[in-house]
Amino acid sequence: MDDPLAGALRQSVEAWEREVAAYWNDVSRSPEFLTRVGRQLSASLRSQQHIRATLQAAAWNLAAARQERARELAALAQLEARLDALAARLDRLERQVGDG
Amino acid sequence: MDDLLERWAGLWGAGMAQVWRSYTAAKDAIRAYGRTLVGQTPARVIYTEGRLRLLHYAPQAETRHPVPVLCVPSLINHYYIMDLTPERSLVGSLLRRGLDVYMLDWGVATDADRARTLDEYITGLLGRCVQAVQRESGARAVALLGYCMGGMMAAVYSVLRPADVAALVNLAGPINYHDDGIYSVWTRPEYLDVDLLVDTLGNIPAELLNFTFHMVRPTDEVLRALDYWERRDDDAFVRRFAAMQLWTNDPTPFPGEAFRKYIKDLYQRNALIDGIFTIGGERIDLARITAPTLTIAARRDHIAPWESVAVLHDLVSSADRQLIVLESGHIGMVVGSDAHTQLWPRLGAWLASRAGSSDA
Repeated sequence: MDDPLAGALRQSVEAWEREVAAYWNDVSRSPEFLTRVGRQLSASLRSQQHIRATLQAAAWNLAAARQERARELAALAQLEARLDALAARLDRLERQVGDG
Repeated sequence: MDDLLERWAGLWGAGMAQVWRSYTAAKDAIRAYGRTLVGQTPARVIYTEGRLRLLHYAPQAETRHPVPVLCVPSLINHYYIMDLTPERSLVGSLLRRGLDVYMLDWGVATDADRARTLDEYITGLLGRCVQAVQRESGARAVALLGYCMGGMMAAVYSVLRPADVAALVNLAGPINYHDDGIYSVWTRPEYLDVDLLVDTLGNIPAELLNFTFHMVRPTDEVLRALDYWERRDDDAFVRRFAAMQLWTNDPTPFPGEAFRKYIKDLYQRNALIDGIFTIGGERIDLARITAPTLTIAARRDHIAPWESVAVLHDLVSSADRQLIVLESGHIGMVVGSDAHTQLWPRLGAWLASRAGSSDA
């Protein structure tokens, strides 16, 4: 397309891009820059690992708490059943005493 | 740096704002259009395994050479770069020469591929694809055409299973990883903790790979925006542009364990050059390659510097070997405006002369 806007721009943009690319090429190869980026990447990955481990631990704790609650409910249910049995036995004994 | 920023502000005010906004507004639509254009050469799937597909292209010539050609692309870029559009198709050019062409489409890796090793990709998946091609074609051996990382994989396979390989083409596949290339610098062990990366992420996400690719020359997209602005009414240009825009922004995740070995053994230890690289427990000595070998490098290749590719030519023992160095870049050599005059005819002629006589 014959576009005067882009036509006038191209030369300037290409010259600008070449200079930026050369600048970036130097920066992105420099040990100082790469050391810093490498450290940040490693720190970010370790954080991710830590967060994952924390969430996993929390999930395990939650599961353990649920199991504990289930055990307590089962124990309560057993206790309730025994109390019912005792109450029934008491009723029978009272009736026997009353009849006697 | 301040000067560059000031100049950018000037360019922005002088019209780049309009160019950039037009490009970014159209970007999604361009890529969606690209998806309708790529990988259009008629083919049927003759083998699948997980997400991998093996394609067999329909012949486009009256005669056919008996030795089939199996294209092996990179693990992390889609295969369709070799069949970009009907007008820019390396595959199409080979078919028109009467070659019998197959394509390995690695598919998109998922979490299920996280533990799949480079060894398994080469001896397992690639090996089973070679067998499928042998079954389909009836040929005892195939010509392997590896592009980019696929070039290394094809060369390694040629060492391990020489009887399967009638000819080897390494198209811009790095062999020497200790070079001046940017990836060689970025992956040095003092900067990149590969184990931490893989242990944390599993597969290396496509978005991270894409970001890394763009960081090689981040301002390149400014020029692409200008290209688009200038030629947005040129249908042929827009088709190519859309297909390339799709491909360059469409990488696939790198399977975790394969990435670990690829970076540690090849980029960090340069084990292939030092003769200590092993696959499936077997040491890979490239001097054991005796099949006819064609090495094609590109002098402006920033991804696989040409010397890193060309070294294969000196390492193999093949009596029949050839080195071609093209004046282009890594991708331009396959789909650029001069690919049809530079790469395609020379590659096609070399393969045809080693693929047996064509039957009438």
